[in-house]
Amino acid sequence: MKKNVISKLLTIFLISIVLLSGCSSKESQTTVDKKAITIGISQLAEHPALDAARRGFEDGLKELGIEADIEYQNAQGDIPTSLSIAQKFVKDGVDLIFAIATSAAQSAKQATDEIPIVFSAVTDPVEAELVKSMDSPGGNITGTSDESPMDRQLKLFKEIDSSIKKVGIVFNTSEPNSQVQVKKAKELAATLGLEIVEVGINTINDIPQAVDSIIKKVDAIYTITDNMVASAINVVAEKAIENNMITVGAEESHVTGSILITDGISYYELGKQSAKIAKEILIDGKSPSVIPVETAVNTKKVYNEETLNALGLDINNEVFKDAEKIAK
Amino acid sequence: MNSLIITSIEQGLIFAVLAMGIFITYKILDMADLSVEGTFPFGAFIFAKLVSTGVNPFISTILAFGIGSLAGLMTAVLFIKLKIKPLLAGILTMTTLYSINLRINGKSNIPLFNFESVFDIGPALLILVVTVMAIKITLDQFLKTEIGYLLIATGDNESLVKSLGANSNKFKTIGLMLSNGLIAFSGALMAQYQGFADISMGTGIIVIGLASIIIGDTIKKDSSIFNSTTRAILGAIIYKIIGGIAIDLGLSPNDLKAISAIIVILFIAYNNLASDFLASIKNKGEKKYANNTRIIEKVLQRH
Amino acid sequence: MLTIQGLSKKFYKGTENEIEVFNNFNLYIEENKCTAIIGPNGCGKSTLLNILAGSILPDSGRIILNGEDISNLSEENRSRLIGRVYQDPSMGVSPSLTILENMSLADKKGEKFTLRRLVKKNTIDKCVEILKSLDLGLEHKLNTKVKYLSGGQRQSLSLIMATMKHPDLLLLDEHTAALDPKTSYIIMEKTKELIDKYKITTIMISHNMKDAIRYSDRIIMLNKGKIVLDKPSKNTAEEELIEIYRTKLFEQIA
Repeated sequence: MKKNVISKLLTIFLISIVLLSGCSSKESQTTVDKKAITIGISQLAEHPALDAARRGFEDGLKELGIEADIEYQNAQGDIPTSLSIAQKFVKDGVDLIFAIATSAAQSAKQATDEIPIVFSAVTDPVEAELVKSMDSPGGNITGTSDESPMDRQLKLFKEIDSSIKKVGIVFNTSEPNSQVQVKKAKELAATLGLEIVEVGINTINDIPQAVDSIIKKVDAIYTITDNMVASAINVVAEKAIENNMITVGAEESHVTGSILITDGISYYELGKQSAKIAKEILIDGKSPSVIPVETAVNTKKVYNEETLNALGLDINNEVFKDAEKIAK
Repeated sequence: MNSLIITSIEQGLIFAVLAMGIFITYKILDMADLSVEGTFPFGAFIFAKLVSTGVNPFISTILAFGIGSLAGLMTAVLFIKLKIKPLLAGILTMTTLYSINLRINGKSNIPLFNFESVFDIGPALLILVVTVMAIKITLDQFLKTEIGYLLIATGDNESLVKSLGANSNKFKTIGLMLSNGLIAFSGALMAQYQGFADISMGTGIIVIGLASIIIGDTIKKDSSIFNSTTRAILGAIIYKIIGGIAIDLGLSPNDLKAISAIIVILFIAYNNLASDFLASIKNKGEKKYANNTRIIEKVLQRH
Repeated sequence: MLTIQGLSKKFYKGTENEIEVFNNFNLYIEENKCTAIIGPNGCGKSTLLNILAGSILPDSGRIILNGEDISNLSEENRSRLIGRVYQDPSMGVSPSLTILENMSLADKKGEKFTLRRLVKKNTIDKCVEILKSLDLGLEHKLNTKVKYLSGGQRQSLSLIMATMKHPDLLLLDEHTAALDPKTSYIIMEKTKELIDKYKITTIMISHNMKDAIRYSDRIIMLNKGKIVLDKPSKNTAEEELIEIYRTKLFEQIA
């Protein structure tokens, strides 16, 4: 008798899977109109930045007047799943694949070299071998890079306080991306009349000591995109405030963590830029191989009001004019 | 639909190698080796390093097996020589491998699009079927050797191994090395299949491996036709096919993970209830027999 | 023959729970005979067996088996000379393997394990022979996994596995204590058959005085690490043993 119950349960389960397919995120359930444009969105994981990029893309398409059947799939951080998703889109014969995050884009590239792919939230598309070069992608892939506008961020130091000369950076030595950023910061600093002093850490417990040691040597602190620093951003911010130091961050999330200010990317805007690229491919008929990869055109200044007050800065300073206060 | 089944089977075959590796530690040795999450990408990164310096992809993949087995050696040394509990030893190996993986190539993501891979010589499905069969046959033969049996005995009853004059630690080490070697091999295959190696490849890999073994176990547990390696392979393939169907049906992405979990739960429940069910008929049958005997005896006594 | 010289062992040394089990204990066991060791709990009989097998190391003393000083041999290295059957039928076998596979493993006891196939044609023949002579019908269950066997069947298998390679010394650690009376009787009978047939020097620990007298050649009673009785079994009566137990117990309480 129990066996019957189990097999009934299994049957119900299988039927419900079939029914659930009706709850998929396909926006159009009617038979496919041969003229309708189909787009497959392959997102790597659930993450506020990636979600924002997707929404920006979808809104951007609407603003450009493009009507498309969009299917959205999320790999929940699992790379083989993102590969299966890409393979499914290929099998379905979509007109374009929008891939959000590096692994999702690489999986899409592996799945097809014919269907055009537009990516977003990829920091270094050349390094990831998605494109041959930023100006001339050379294949079926192009898109938008979320590389931080570090030049704009570093400029903020002198704009807030022209006496700042030495800027400190704490970074995790085992994050390759961090070393790249430190190197880039040093190159940019030279052109801005700043000097970078860096200190490397191995574990998160090293952060308080590292910050203490660097505070003695510098006039201000810059926080790069680094997972370890991000998880202890409040520590860095508070120590800086105690020592009356200006801090500039690479991301909005740093400002939420009490870093004074950033001039950063809006993933939502980046998504919209991606939609424009999609239009050039789908409507204007351009090949992705000749569409240059774009970085964020519009950046957003965001500041932390409490930090500003704690540092005794003047809100009427030019710097803060077009800046937004961070929401709690 | 067809091509999605094929790609699901292909991924299933790659994970079948992983499942066979996990099978050795989790089922034969009865040890929870958590280093798996670090060993899988370790194999991928070793392969990437070798193939980027010009080594033939076939040799690179096999070397990934060899070097990957060292991860098992590390776990073995930690828990045998330093007497750290196996669970913790595995975690320590995994965290060490994270740093090692980053240092091998200096980056967390290595594209392999411009390098040769084992899948260049023919259809992926064929290559994978041949590879998995070869591994399965070798493993089966190994488990029939004296050392193979001692491996099984070590997981079953360590004091027996001692009384046979063998050192159970030696066999745990062999098991760990073999297991991690297979897992690294699987990682190298996956890197070539997806076109890149990435530090996040190992996340959640234990769940896939265990799910494959659990699903495989529901297929005729003690049948002589399907022995344990076959069941691990079938389990991995079925797991991936179910996932593939879910994606193809366009299920809401948020539900994908929940559905995988539900599938595993259903398989476990079926397994447990089915054996309980069999036990309960046996009990009922025996009670009935005893009752009948008593009735007959009573009747006979009257006469 | 087996010689135990100057054996001393303390547990929990240096703590307030320190307990001395043996102090300069000596014993000589003749070969080819079965010696039963009985005594109240804590008298040291299990410890003695563990020290002989090598799973516990003594503080001092020597163990010489058939002329070889095995005092410093590890448990693994002693196993080629010593067979052991435990009280728990599952301890001497590998439950997920078959009878044939278990016996094949036992056939390689004390040897080097290689990559050659374990179960060979002549192994099967050999095992069938041995099981047939046991006369318990196990030769028909060669391919049954041991976990499906009853306690008595498992214990018979443990016995076979421990004696297959004709060890120099057989240690029986209350090996029928966990079995029901009928099975216990069968196992004891089979044990006697085996040790008589292969002429194995045997030390048997038992709580059952009848069995101890009946199945051994010599009875030794231990109390607190000392020998309080040492007689040939045929000259010993159960009542005698019970009397000693009683008086010793009174001593302990007083």
